[in-house]
Amino acid sequence: MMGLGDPGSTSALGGALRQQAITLTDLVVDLTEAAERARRGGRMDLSVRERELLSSTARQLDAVGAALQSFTATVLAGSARIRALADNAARSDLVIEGSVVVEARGPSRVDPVDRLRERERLQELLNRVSAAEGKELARIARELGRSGPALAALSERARLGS
Amino acid sequence: MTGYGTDAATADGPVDPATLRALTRARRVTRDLADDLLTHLPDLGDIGTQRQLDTWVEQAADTLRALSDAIEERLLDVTRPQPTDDPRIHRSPTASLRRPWPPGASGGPDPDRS
Repeated sequence: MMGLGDPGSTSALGGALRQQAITLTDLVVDLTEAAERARRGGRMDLSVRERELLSSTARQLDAVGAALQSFTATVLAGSARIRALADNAARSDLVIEGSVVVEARGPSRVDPVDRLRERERLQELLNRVSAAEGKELARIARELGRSGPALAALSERARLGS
Repeated sequence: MTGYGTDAATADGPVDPATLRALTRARRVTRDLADDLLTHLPDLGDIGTQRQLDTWVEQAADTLRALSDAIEERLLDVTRPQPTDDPRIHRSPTASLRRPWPPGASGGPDPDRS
């Protein structure tokens, strides 16, 4: 998947989600302080359920936001790594096409054995970059798969008043 | 922004104004966050995970809206006038026209006699 996607857009969403989680947590703090004052004044605590729902939602947003930010950081680091590998490849008349190291077109003055060895070495390094990105992508998929149903349950609880 | 009176009361007494303010803010903020979430157009570069993320974002916005609605309901509950056991107190618009009959008695006029 290297080179695809828009790390800026995923970073923006990840940051927004984590900020939203902080905002929701701030709301919980406000409600908790108000509830404590009310209790001291002999009044009922009227926001127990709302605080719990807000806290649970905040945790979900933060978890997915963190996964998106981690993915973005890995993609950006991978891009920098690939640029460095491309420079190395060029010295051996090799080029990086997607996730594969191939020989550049045309004749080459590089020794064929050295060129093959360098190609294999660069391919191995490139594979590590791909693997790191794949791992982060899988982490996002796991978080989404876990968090989606949790959020749906929170929606249902909020609407049912339970 | 919809306002909620600070003189609201529950069966156990007046609602704490700070609680009302915090709930009102929470209702507005959760709605705003839901709207903000839907303005994002992330591009992961992987079709399968992208679809998963798009669905999740819609779900998260739905949850934030559901929270806002739930808080709205809570505000309506706590600001709604509570029924009372005192038969001399009525909440209807014509309550001020009603008087105990005869004065000082616990019951009203016998409807069969009117």
